[in-house]
Amino acid sequence: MTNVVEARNLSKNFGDFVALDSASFDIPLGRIVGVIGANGAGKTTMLNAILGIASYDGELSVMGLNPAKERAKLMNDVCFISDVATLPKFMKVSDVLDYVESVHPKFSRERAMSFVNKTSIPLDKKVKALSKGMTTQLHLAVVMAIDAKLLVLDEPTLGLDIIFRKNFYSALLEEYFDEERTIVITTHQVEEIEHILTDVIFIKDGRIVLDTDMDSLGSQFIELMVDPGKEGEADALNPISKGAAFGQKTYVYKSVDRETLKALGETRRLGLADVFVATVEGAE
Amino acid sequence: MLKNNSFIALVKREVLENQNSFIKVPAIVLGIVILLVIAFVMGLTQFDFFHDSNMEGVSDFGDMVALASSEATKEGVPFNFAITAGYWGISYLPLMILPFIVFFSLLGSLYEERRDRTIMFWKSMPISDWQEVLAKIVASAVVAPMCVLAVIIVGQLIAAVILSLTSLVQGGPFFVMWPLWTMFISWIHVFIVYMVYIAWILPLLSWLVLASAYAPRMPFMYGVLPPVLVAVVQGVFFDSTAFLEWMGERMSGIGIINDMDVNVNLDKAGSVEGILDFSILGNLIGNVLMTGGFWFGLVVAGGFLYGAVELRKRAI
Repeated sequence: MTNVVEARNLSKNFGDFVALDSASFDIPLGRIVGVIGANGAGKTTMLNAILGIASYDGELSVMGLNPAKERAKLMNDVCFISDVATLPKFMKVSDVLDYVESVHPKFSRERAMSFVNKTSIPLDKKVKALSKGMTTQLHLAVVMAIDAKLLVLDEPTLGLDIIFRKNFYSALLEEYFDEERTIVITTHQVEEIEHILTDVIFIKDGRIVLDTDMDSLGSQFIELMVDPGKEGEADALNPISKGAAFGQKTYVYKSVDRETLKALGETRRLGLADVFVATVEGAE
Repeated sequence: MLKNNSFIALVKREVLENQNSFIKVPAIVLGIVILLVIAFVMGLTQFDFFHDSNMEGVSDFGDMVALASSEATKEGVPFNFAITAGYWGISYLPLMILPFIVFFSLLGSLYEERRDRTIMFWKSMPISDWQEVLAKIVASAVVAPMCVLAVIIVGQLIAAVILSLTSLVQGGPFFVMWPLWTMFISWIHVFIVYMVYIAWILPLLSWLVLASAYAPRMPFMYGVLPPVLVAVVQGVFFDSTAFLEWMGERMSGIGIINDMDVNVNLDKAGSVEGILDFSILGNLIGNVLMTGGFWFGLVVAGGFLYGAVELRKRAI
């Protein structure tokens, strides 16, 4: 499988603060990867290194290029939305399309217009007159109209309502993604992107604490509602986190055989957010 | 491969962003001056120049144009030069605010995109930081003067239309107010001189771009304080005003004509005839290219721009 991103010992310090700590990972072609972490965990630092807009230590190759030295060339095949508020407010919507059409060889205006026409975005209005939702829709229309191999979305739906967020991700999945493209997403609304992800990377304090595909995530992490009296046996299997619900103890295990756990109580498949919390707590 | 028009698109973007200062402000200033002049020649002001002038047979603008035109013909004075000079007099104010437009647009050039975070959008495009920085200095130092000149040209033509019609209505001559060829040559001349001046002060302009790329806030302070500090330190500790003189030489343009072999032409240089004399212009350009300081300035400018590009590469 071709890797779009290959990182080895990727590090970045801001003074004494370690934003990325020897992160090594690969991102293959044709995947949708969620980069999940708390605020300040190093997600944006990692993405900025991949995009060539921030310096770093270590080895990093994106589409075979060194992003720190070849950002402009890289941007022929990489798109990103870093924040909803970055489109130029002084431009009209049509100016934005004109500009991208002039500078990006892989931009299709027809494709952009087909996305814009599905929305209520007025072409003759300035970006500053658009609502936050419209601005994001416009930005998404622009990036989806670029025939890129890697799309990086850093909190793309921050501050938008749930209906919009749902439409955003379904448009991405239905009208953009295919096996020839890779999407990397960071978001705090983990539940909303869970169903579209193929892989996840968890980051805590600049370190990668989990890097796996969604299929094995389900089999790796199991929650057990421990039957009364069996706490001792459950403890012996080294749960990565412990909690309580409805008066019953709940333990989360990583890479423990499901049949073994079934003998100690009821087992449950965990959602991504629960796995993240359990993993991060377990990494402490 | 980038499309050929990408650099033009970058410059166009800069003009779009700065259209208020590049076009609207000079247009408004020029418009006000023209309105005042028109009010004056139509006798709408309290100050009645034509009646108070005590010139025989002159009671309005039309009379004055007729008289001046015939006097000029009698004395062999080229009246087209005088009229052209008059139009440039009207255009004086927008021309004077041009340095401020260039100064502030350069100071904001690499600062504003970080402040409003559009830099993240620009960086998502396959455009190198070199192209971006060059586009910004070209827009501020070359395109802004072109925009202001375009505004001035339109303003002069509007003034010509109104003044010639006023003269005609008041019984004066019409066509003498239209020295089109002289006006055209003066536009070209002013533009070329301005471009030579821009090349001459490129190190100062590039410094502003560097300050703009570096300033975490208040780019004005970062642009102005360091040169002031250098001048003060040199003055206080080394009892020297060399840096200050160098700055003055650059900004006033005096350095360009310092050793210029102008002879007879120097007297003409400041006059309207001088504007039309291309030998002075040739002399000026030749002199600039022969000056070691000019080439040194270009090297310094290159260093500042390189610094600005490196800063932009790291900017988020």
